[in-house]
Amino acid sequence: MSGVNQRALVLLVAGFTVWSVGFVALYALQALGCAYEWPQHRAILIGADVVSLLPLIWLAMMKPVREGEPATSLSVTALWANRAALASGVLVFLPVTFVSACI
Amino acid sequence: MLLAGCSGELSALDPAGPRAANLATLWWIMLGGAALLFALVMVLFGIAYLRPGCLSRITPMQWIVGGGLVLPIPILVLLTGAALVLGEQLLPKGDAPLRIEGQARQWAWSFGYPGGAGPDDGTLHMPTGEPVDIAVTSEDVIHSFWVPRLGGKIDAIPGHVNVIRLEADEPGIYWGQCAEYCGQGHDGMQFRVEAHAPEDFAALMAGAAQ
Ligand SMILES: [Cu+2]
Repeated sequence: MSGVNQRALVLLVAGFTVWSVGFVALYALQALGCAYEWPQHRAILIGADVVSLLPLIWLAMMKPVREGEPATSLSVTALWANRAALASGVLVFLPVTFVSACI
Repeated sequence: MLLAGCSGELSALDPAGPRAANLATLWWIMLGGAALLFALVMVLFGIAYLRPGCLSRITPMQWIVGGGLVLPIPILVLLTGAALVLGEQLLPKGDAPLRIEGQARQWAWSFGYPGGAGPDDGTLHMPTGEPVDIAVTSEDVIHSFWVPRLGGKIDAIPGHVNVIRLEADEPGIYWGQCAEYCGQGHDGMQFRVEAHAPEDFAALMAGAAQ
């Protein structure tokens, strides 16, 4: 496998891997905050939402190939997969910023 | 006719209070949306079968964008939004006027009232017209407290108390069912819920306390 495609393959899985780590982290922070009654619970959740979106934004804006390399279908797919990961991150993580966290 | 089997004592589609009504509304939204999508796919299928020429002008990319993004994303956003708005209203925010203890064990439920009042007859007695918090826990394994006509479900977990808020509009008998498989007697783990007019409920509590 060429270097271009190896890099593309890593990028292909990167977005949704970051997404799932962010999802689990938010889930854990929500539960821990309720269990230990963190005073800054909402602020922590909003912060964690922003922190998990940053690498997704970076991946979504990344050029699929380096200077001088030809775009392959794998690298284009990787770029769009990462854009999809960003979009679903924005959508799925958003509720932690406003819905009731604890009962 | 089709929905005749949906009424009855354990039907979430026959809500008897505002909280159960929210859940039933969400169920109908989901059924309506699913029916609409099914109809759309069937129409496309029919066109593809009867008039193949009509669809051949649409490119594969248009199918992917239309069917994979434009169609599902607004539907999922609306559905999630509806679930959030309706679900938010189910949460027990603040304290309800009345809090009843609900304890589960294999395979029965027992209920306790403030100050040790109320009859100990395995029936959940509650007043109508006001929210009631049920503090649910378990003596042994995980069970789930569920009165389909009055509200949602909540897990009964040993060593932990979960609170669910129910509300009944009218006096009457409702039924609950354990909704988490908890051993061989699980299917028979029902309980009776009796909603009384507020004055009758007060009399019941006063009478049993003597
Ligand atoms: Cu049970």
